[in-house]
This record gives sequence, C-alpha cells and structure tokens, in this order.
Amino acid sequence: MKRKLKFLLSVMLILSLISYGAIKIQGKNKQYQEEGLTIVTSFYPMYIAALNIADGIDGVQVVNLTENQTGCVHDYQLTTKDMRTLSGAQVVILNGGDMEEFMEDVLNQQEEIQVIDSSAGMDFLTGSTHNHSGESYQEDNELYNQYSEEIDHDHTDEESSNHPEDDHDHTDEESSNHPEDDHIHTDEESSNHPEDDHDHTDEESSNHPEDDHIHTNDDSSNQSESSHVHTHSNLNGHVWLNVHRYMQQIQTITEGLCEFDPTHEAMYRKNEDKYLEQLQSIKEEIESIKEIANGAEIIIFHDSFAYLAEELGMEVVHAVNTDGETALSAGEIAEVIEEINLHDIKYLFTEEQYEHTIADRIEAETNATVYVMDSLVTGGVNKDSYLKGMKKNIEMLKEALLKDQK
Amino acid sequence: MDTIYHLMEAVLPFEFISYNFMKNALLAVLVITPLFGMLGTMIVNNKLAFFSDALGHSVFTGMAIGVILGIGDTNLSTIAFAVVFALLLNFIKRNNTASTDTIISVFSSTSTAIGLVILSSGGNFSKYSSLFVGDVLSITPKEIGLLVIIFAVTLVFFVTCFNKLHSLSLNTSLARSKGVNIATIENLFAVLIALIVMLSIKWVGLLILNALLILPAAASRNISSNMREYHLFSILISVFSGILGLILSYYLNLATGPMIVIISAVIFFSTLWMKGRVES
Repeated sequence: MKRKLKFLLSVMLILSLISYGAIKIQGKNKQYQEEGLTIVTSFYPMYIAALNIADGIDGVQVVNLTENQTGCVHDYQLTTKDMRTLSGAQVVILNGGDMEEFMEDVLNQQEEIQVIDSSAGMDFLTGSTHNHSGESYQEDNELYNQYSEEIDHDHTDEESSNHPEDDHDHTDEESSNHPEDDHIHTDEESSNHPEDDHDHTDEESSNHPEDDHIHTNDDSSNQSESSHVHTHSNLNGHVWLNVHRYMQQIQTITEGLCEFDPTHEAMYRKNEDKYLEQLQSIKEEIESIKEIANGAEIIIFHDSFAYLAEELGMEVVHAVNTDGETALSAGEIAEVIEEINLHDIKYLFTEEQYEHTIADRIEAETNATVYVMDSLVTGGVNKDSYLKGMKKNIEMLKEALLKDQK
Repeated sequence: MDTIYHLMEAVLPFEFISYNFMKNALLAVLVITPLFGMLGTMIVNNKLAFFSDALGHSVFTGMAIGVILGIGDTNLSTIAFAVVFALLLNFIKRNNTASTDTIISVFSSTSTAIGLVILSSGGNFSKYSSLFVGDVLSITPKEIGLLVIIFAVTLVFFVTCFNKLHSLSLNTSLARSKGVNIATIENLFAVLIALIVMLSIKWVGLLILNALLILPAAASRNISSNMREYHLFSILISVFSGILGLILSYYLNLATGPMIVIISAVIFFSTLWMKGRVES
C-alpha cells in the first residue's frame, strides 16, 4: 500500500512540476494595463470598429474576445483567458442582435462592466433558421423579401406588372398584427414575394394600380401566429454588412465611449469623423452599383448577406443556413434548386469560412453561379480590415452583375 | 457563498483565485471529482462504463423533450428522461436475451438520433453544441449547491448499498443467495448515475464525461489490491486531475474539461506501467 501510494504521489508530483514548468515557460500572463481604460469587444467587427474609434489614444486599449474564432460566434465558449480579459474591462462593446449569447451569463454576473450595445435601437432582420411550424419557411422568405420592397416604390410600373398577386397577399393577412414585427418593417410593403406568386397564381392575375401598394405599417407583419412563438432569439445580427447600419453602429459606440470616458471625447469624435468619412466612400460605391443590383434575386448561404442585399435592394429568395454543423436536409436542397429554376436566379452568395460544397452542388445543377463573399466575421487585425473586405465584396458584386448584363 | 469566497482567498495564495468564476469552477471541481472518483469505482466494478456513456447521450432527447414542451429549465426534462431511460434500459436488459452492450448501444444511438432530429429541426443546433464539450467556467453557485446535494445522496447510497452492489458485481447468484434484491439495487444505482451524469454534463461535456468517470477508477484498479486502496486511489487521482487540469487550463488558456481528462489519462498509463512492472 505504502509503495503504491508513494508511486502515485510521485507521479502526481512529476505532473505538477511539469505543469509548473509549462506555466512558467508558456503561461506568461499578458497583464493588461492596470491604468487607463480597457475596452473589450465581443468579436471581430466590433473590434475593428473600436480600433478605429480608439485609434491613437493613450491610456485606452482595445482588447478583443473570441480571438482565434473562425466562423460565427453563436456557439462560442468563453475561455479562461476571455474571462480574465473581461474581469479587467471597464467597457464592453457588443454587436447586439443576439450575437453574443455566449456572454450573457458572464455579463449578468459582472454588473460593474459598462455595456455598449452598438445596435441599440436598430431593427433587425430575422434569421434563416427554420421553425417547427409548417409555414415558417415561407414566412422567413417573406421577411427576407420585405426590405426589397422599399425599392419597389421607385419602380412602381415594373412592380405592378411583375407581381399581380400583391393585392391578394395583403387582404387576407393584413388582419394579423404582430407587434414584434411591426418595428422591423415600418412602412415597407410586404408585397411581391416570389412565393406568393406561385402560391396564388390561379387566384388572381390582373394588374393592380399603384394604390394597392399603399398600406399601413401593419401590413408588413403578415406573419402567422406560429412564427413569433418560435422565433424570439431568431434575429439576424449580422448588421455590419450593411454599411449604413455599420455607420450607425460606429456612432452608437462613439456616443457610448464619450459617455463613459469623457476625458477623451474630442479624440473619439475625431476618429469617428475620420472613419465615417472612409465608410461614406464605401457607401457611395455601393450606391453606384445599386442600380444594376436592384431587384436581382439571390440565394444566400449565410445570414449575414441578407444585410448586404438589404442595402443593395437585392431580393433574397432563400437563405440557406450552412452555419454550424447541422446538415441540410435533402428536401431543402431540392427546394432551393427548384426555386432557382423557377425564378431563374443567377447568384449564389456563399461565405468564405464555410465549405461551399452544397453551393457548388447547387451550382452544378442550375444556371446559377457561386460567388464567394466575405462576411467580415473574421480577418486580419488591422483597422482598415472592414474597408478592405467591403471593397472586395463590392468588386465581387460588380463582377457578378456586369457579367450578367452582357 | 461570500464566506466561502473569502476563505478561499485567504487559504489559496494564487492569482487565479481572485476571480469569482475560478472560485466557482474550483468549488465545482472539488465536488464533482471526488463524486466521480467514488462512483467510477462502482461503475467499473459493475461493468457499466458503456451504460453511463449511453446515459450521457440521452441528454439530447431529454433536452429535445424540454424544448418541445416549452420547459424553460431543460435540466428538469433531461433528468426526468435520463431516469426513465435508465430504468427502461435496465428493464429490457433483464428481460431480454440480447447481450447488454447491444441493448445499451441501441438505446444510446436511438436517443441521440431522436434528440438530433428534434433539436436540429430548428436549424440552430449550434446552440446545443456546448453540450459536447461542456463549460465548467460558467457554473453558478446555485448549481454547485445542486452538486453538493447529489454528493450527499451518493455518500448515503455508498454507505448503505455498497456491499450489496459489490456482491452483485461479483456474481448475481451470490448476491441473490445473500438476500440482495438485485433489481432494486440495480435500478437505484442506475438512477443515481443518471442524476449525476445529467447534473454534470453541462459542465463536463458529453464527449469527455465518461472519461472522467472511468479513468480514475481504471487507473486505481491497476495498482490497488483491495477495496480500500481502490477507492482511496480513485478519489485521489480524480481530485488531483481535476485541480491540476483547472489550473493548467487557466494559465495555458486551454479547455478545462479535456485538460482534466488528459491528466487522468497520463496517470492511467503510468499506473498501467507500474502494474506491468509489479507483475513481472
């Protein structure tokens, strides 16, 4: 017994010593500055934003959580290092829109940390996640399509000829009023869904005058009861891909920082102006391709592109969720292929970080082309990363759209 | 809770202890690991290693049922389902001629499949992926309290039923001749395993939970020659791996659960070596 216990204890001792050595060599804890302000950002896009706003200010450092994270942060687990980082933080910048579910518990525990929700007050699109209810698939698409209607106001003649069923669509669904959705789509119309087209083709085919499209805000909320039961945390939080929204985020963050750290207000403001100016030029570029992009029907393989499409006025016919490890069901792929053929969709937008095998398969079976876009969820640590990534996306879009025009 | 925190700060002169999440994690480890060490010996003796693994997999279905029924606290549904699962498995095992591991495997994969289908039908299965690896860092004092309760229950079971369980593990005929009600003991033990597995799966993770249950006991079995040694070594190895794993994961920024398992595994192999040397 004694000999064995001795053996066991010596094994433990050796292990402890090895561990101690490993800690000594490797575990030099990066101590964060004791003084000054430590701003912690939840993940990459917020980090880039904060880097720009706090650029060149002494005593203010920006630290990012979820560092080596590839892919979306929905299923991220905080590491001990993240917890330590958070413990030394005074201000935490979040993206909001349910992106930071992994931080909720921790932030609730550490109440002394100031939280800036960069998308505060912003309306979100709904995620592509499919619900348990039968109709949900269509509801999702309706939601996706709703932002494209905004543009239709400018093209009324085209609209009325393209979508003869609009009228019908509203009349029977107008009545269901869902507060949850109302704020998402103020004064946008819920009309011209491709799904509606084929759902209701026999029912109505005449053209409708413009007046049909004038609706109250409630119209856009033509969701069936089931959807808002199942979709609380189903927000699409990838708002940064819409440059306009991203600029709003920058402003919100700056406001928040100025409030918590008034001493550096002037510098934050200066940085903000500079960054917004750069973003403005990106926005102008987007405006320039808006005309050809407008109304183009696309299929996206990552929720984030819904925001890109929103800004460009593209119509997301289907958002395929390849995020995470859930395999698509064979039926859904077939459905997507059918939609592509039906609507003659030419663009499939996939994300760099995920495998595009599914998109490639779909491409092979249809006339559509796969375009790999950057959702800017990860990337180099450089304060111009967002600008560069966005420019690349715009180039890609231009290429896609111009090729198609020829 | 605060008094415990202060006590820990006073006793332990390390930097990591200044964080509350580390205090919680350390407390949890101090409760879970002796529990696992103790239970592990019984599981290994009764050849139930595969059984506890299968129970772990039932967490998917349990959670799926919770989601469908709209129960906010899925702990309830997972525990309830695991208990039903364990009892049903025991029942079929007793009344069927197919070998035990076949039946367990059928149960395990069926419950995983049902759970996966239901949970992934919403498309956001990633929400549940933390079940795979666990997250001991987010444990709350309330949950540590639950673990302490289950620890006490296990102790009571251990004291009252250990001899019966032990005779059962040696030979069922022997147990029966000694007047042990086999079915009751087996069921009680199965329920206990179900409770512990379900309560710790969120912190330890499905993929490595079984390793934590089995490894210390298996390592201890390599070198011990009587029951007392067996249990003592098992608990010792379990607690040591738990604490060292946690500390290492803190300083080296590694995942906690896997780190604990790796240390247990190293000890297992060294005891295996020791055993070989003693025998030769």
